[in-house]
Amino acid sequence: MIASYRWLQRFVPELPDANTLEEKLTQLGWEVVSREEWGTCYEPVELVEIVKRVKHPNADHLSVMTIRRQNGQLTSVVTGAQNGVAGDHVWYAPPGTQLVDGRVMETVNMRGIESPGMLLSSQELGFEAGLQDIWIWDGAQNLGTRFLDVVGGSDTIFELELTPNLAVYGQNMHALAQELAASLSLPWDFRETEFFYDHAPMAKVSDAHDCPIYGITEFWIQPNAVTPLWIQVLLRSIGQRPINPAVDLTNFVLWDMGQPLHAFDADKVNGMIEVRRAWDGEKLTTLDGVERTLSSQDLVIADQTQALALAGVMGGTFAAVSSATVHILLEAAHFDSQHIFQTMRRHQIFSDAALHFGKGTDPHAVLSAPAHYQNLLEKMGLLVEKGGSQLIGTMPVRRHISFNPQGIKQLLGVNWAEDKILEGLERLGFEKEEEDIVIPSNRHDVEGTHDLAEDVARVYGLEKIEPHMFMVSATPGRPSPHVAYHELIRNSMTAAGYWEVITRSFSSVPRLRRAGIELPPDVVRVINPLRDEETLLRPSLLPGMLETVEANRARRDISLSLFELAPVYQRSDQDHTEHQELIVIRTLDERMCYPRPDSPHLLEVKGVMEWMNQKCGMGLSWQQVSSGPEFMHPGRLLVLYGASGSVVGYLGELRPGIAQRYRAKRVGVWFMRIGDDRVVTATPNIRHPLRYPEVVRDLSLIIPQGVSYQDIFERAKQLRSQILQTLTPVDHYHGDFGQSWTFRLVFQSEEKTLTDQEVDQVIQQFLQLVENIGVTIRQ
Amino acid sequence: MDGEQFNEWKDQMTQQAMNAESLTDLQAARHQWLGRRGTITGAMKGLSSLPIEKRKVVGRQLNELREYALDLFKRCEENMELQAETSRLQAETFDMTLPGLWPQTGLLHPVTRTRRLVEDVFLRMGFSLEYGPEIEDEWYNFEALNIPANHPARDMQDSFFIDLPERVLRTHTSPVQIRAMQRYNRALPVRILAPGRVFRRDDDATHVPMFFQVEGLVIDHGISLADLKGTLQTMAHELLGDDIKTRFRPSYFPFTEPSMEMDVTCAACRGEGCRVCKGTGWVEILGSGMVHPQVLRNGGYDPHRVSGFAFGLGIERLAMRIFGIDDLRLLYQNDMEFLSQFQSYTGRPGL
Repeated sequence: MIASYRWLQRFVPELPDANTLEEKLTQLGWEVVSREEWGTCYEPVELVEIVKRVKHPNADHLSVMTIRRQNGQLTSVVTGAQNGVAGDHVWYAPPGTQLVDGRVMETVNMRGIESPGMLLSSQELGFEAGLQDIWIWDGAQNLGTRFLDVVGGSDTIFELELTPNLAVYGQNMHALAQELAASLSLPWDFRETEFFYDHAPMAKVSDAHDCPIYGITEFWIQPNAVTPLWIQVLLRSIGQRPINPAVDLTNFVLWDMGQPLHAFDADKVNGMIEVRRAWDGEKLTTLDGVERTLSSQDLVIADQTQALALAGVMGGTFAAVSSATVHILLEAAHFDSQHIFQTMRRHQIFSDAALHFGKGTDPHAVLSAPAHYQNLLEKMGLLVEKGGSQLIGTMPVRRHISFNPQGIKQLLGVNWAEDKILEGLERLGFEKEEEDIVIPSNRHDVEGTHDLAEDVARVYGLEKIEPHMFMVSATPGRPSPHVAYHELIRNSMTAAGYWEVITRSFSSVPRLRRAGIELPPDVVRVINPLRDEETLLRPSLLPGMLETVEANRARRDISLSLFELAPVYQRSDQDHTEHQELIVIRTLDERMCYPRPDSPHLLEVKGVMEWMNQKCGMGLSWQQVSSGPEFMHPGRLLVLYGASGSVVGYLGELRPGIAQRYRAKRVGVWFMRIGDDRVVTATPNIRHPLRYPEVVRDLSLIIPQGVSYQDIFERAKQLRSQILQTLTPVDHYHGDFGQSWTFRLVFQSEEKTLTDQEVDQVIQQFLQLVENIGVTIRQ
Repeated sequence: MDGEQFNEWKDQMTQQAMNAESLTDLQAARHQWLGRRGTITGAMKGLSSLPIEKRKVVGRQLNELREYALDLFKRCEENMELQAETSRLQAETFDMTLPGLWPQTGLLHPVTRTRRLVEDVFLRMGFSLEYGPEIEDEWYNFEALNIPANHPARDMQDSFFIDLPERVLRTHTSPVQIRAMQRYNRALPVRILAPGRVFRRDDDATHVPMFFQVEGLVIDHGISLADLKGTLQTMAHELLGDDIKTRFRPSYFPFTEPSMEMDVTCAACRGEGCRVCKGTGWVEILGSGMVHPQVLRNGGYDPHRVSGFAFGLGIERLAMRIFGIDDLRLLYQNDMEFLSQFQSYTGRPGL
């Protein structure tokens, strides 16, 4: 909403300066989006006298006017205007003046004659002054008077953002002024008169729910009149365009007191006005020139022939008033706000009327607004005669709530006197009646003590409430065990050298396909996505992660070690599940770097998994498989089992063809579900350090095709030796003997220094066991 | 043989040791004094010819001289060896101006770090962490929070709907308020913090369709707006420093009444007024208010007996404020060069 300082000052004459006002508005909850000076463009425009008018020697339709300025200086200006003769006072914009439409005046050569600046029409100044080309000013002002002075000087304009609760009653200068006066403790002036409707049978309302109160009045007015400049100035300053008196006054009343009025050209109305639902398919051309097809969801104002207006939203062109109109029907109504709000959205017509009715108007304004309108017409001398009028519906009773100052004090945490609380409320228009508070008729937002508390806090300012720390028993705050486990995973992955990324929860079929994932049948779809790439909720973290790889590698040849722990989504029957998934990714491309090339190995990804399995007690076991998810390299794939033995994820290399789509040659991936049930329960098993020296033996073994490290390791485990601590591969050869691995066996005892004999005995047993799978010692 | 002679010898051998130019010179000198036929060895042999009284005195002096000689030659030898090693190592110069090899360290996402910072502040104040689903029932996301169907407030937050009836991607963490109240089942006090992912149909420099919020809720007997102000002010000081100023403005949320927003002094201009804060010197940081009586009822609490406050804070906005970032979307591009900057010390040991 746009608010004018000058307009507010009409209600609160002692209004403080604009800075204080802005602070107060903020304190009251009206957000000031911007503030600017209005009228500065009128500063150079001055009143001059035409001293001579001659025809332009080179053009039939142009004239050359000689004008006298304040200092007696004579200037010649070329004009195309039909009016303006010697002796007329007119408005002159010298070069450099910027007009309302943005044009900047210059000296131009018009058919051989230099013309500095321009004599202005009223439209060029932004106003309506009847049918004339240049604006002949009939005021008594001296030559040289600035136009800015006749419009009352400049004004300060605030652009305000209203929260929905303020929009209910605050979209007008009266309400805003009342709040300011209340919070500044200033006197304010708002005289309200009530209109007396008679009982002329002029209209009927088919459903009182849609339109609880409907008032209609007939006026005869002077045609071709001009709205007084002070009203035009106020409308102009808040961005409204003056049109003709009948319309300007409805706009003025709307922004002055928040009640939309609508004027119909009564001579175009056929018979009685009817407030009814539209027929399905009924047509109406609204004032914006659009032909609209209505339905029975729409409420219309109709005559006996056709719909004349979309009720509360926008009038139709057929019965629109013009400057020639002499006979009007003025409608002041109170509509169901929900209904208007929905119509506004359905037809996408965000008119000022709809934005007011849609938030809820003051039912009492059906009485006061027409009175205001009539009063203005009379003052302007435009009212010829008042005709009949009718009010349908009854005023709602004023709402009461019990006054509970204690409750207000408790809710705010203040120790203010009851009188202070009541005074604050009274300044905002609330009244005390016995033990109750009577709610003003425009305050649909107020329901109970908590609402009154808010108003009291707003009027006095939230800064008047002393901050305080609440006191409760000193129990410790608890994190969730599930989430604490997720945090352990994040911390551990970071300790392992991986970077956390956070990607969006959305995906799409092409994005999944690109990562080699077929659309699962249980995917959750977004009905109203923002873009095509975000049409479903991701069933896997892989596409987002690979896209992160791609985005980074598009710019830099960089090796990446990334992880994300985040939900993936799945539907199950009529419901859904969110699972936490962990994805770990590492690019395996060699990268040059001194002193040795950096060449991450797939086993490093596996190593992270093994380490994490221990560190986070994941309870994983794994097995090499030759098939699994289609996007994985079938020759380098582990299936991971959770503690309960079910498959929870995979680890291996991505198919190189897919990796290449994302600008990586080779990518190691580990992904798995982190079960919600998984809260680690483990007893720490910490032993003393072994005090006796270890014995290290390296064994070079010839390994036949098809035997894996796992096979050898399992055999070593079968020994159940108390002294064999580790068995690690340390070297690998290929020779004419086939393939050979060197294993380092480390022996150590808890009880004593080991003898060669004891160690040899275990080695012999081990060699016997592996001999069964064809493994022999290399001589 | 007497003390004077020995002093002369001492000076002589010291001269020799000091002047030796090579290890060979030094060994020759050592041999001359301490060898089998050396001067000191010879003198020791000659002791037996002395009368007993003199033998004692001279013997002691001679022993001292021998100790001195042993130590002298040992020290000089060590010194010489060290010098020899030093010149050998100097020939092995390595260019230490080459860049160092950094450890491969991991990094938490700045949003995670900021979230934990907020959680930590409230955990210290005794709040417990609560969570709710991201695919939320419309009832929890809207109706229970006083946002009925067709309520104009639904206009304020454009929601993502999915192909599951009566479900929505939660538009705020506020539904966790209701879930927590139901879980506490009328027990007091309720003192929870609910961090989580939320979704809104918005995408520009200050809005992303998926972001993180934390919701706070306290319910007990006699909880007031003053308590809310105190709590939020404490939070602001813990998160942004003791010199930060706060400002409270009335606002509107369907699920709180009275409602207010908290502004903090703009980080870019320290409150002077600049482009970032649109000249006001203040930056909005969170929305809050006293829990609406209907919301308390929806959670099973009696608004006549208890009251509560709630607040909601955007993690990204806070991260932007803490790290000085001007575009929210940068946080979700996961650009390593951008993220790598968060490895540096932020000026806060706790972050």
